[in-house]
Amino acid sequence: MEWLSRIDRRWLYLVMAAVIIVPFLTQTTFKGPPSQSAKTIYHAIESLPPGAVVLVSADYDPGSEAEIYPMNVAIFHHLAHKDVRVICTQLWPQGRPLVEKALAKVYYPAGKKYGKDFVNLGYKSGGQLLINKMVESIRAPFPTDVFGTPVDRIPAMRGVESLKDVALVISLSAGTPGTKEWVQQAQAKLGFPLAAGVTAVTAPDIFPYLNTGQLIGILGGLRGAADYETLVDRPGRGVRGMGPQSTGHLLIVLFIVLGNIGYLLARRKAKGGDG
Amino acid sequence: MTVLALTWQQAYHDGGIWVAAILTLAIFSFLYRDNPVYKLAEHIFVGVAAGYTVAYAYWQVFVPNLWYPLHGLYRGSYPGRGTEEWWWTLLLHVPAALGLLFFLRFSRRFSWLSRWAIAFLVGAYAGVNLIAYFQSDLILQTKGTFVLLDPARLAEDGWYKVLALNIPILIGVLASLTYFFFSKPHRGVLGVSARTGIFFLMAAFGASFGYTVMARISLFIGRLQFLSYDWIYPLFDLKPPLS
Repeated sequence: MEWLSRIDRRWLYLVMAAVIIVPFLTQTTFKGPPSQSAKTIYHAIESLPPGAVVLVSADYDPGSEAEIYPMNVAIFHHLAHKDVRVICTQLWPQGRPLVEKALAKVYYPAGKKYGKDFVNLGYKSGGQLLINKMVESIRAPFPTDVFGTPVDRIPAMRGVESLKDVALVISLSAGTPGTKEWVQQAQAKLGFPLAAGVTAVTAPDIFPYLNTGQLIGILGGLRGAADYETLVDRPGRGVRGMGPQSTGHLLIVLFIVLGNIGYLLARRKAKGGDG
Repeated sequence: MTVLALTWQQAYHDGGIWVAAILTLAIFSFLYRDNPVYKLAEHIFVGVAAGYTVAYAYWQVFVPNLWYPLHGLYRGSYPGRGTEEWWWTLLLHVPAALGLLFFLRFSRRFSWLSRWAIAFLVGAYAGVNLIAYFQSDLILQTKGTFVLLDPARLAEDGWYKVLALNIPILIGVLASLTYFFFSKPHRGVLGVSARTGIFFLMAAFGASFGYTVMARISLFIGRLQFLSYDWIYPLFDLKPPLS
């Protein structure tokens, strides 16, 4: 088994690529039941009354597009299906084009009107300070939308002065500032329902907030996106990604097992040699 | 003209896809070995990301939040002198001055003045975060480790479920905290608790590693989806399996 420790890492890359590309090309999917956390977010949106205001904070960039964008699209599908007003903000400058792409994909084809059914207030710097300010006023940091229209003239913003007037906040976050800052700066103060869609890397840091009820639900990584696509019956890139994702995971498990067997055998041999 | 405009728009879109596809393959080439093509793609990425952020911050932060209000103030086009809004706008000179102090880092003689601006930022962020962290993380997270022992509530929620979920959390928190308690040697009860803490920490690291693996594979799948659905499929006039 010594050969295991001498394998050129590029062979491992090649095997991993093959294991992911084959199910991708054959469009193999593994269907699993959506997580309880995804279902909670789904039911929270389902139970929103007509005219309720939902704030979607898209705090991600192209680097995390693969994981967060499918969630963004699936959530927009659900929100567009409901008669609710959606306000989009971004704490990351590169989040704006991605939100606009998701809005163009979902909201305009659904016949929703910009300004009436949804509005994009765009990016503002400040991170946690901005969220802190939004607890008192959304209009102060965002006097206009991305097109420069004063928020007073936007019907979707009618009656929305601060986060107190928002029925649900959805934080789509790839890091800092993101979900953690939303919990710390706003949810802890106002106690509003906060749902999160986060990258898999940040999910373990966010899960403690689910246990305490500070978050109503978490969509973690591509699996979270697949869960939500399944719930809204809009299979997209999340669901399609589950086949290659699962085979990739199986291979990693195999690598870990083989690596440990190789390590244990090498240790036993070294001990035997010493004796 | 409309046809020409559409053609240009299409060319702009397709050109962007081609550039992104080639740069993606250039980055993947690193998996074989470090090479100049990878280096070029890496440098382009860093430069474009920095340029985008600076330009975006200039137009979305500096111009609307500082330049326009102060410009209006000096041109006299801002709300009446002495009003509350006028005073707030006047106060913008303070952050403007603090912002300018950052540029003094380029001067050997006056670079120490930039520390004032840094001190202001550190102080403001510490103040804002301290209370928020205390409230949301320390108090509520500690509360989250409490085991519900009210018999009526236990019966209502299902005692086995509550205990099965909460007791491992309670033991995990206490054991992990003892592992980081360095004032006494880890022997006896403290030693057992600290060793138990190691198991919980290892489980947490394992979960974190698992999620990281998932993230990296997801990113690769994301690039595959881009290369196929956005680049290859349209190139051969094929219909992607996704809308």
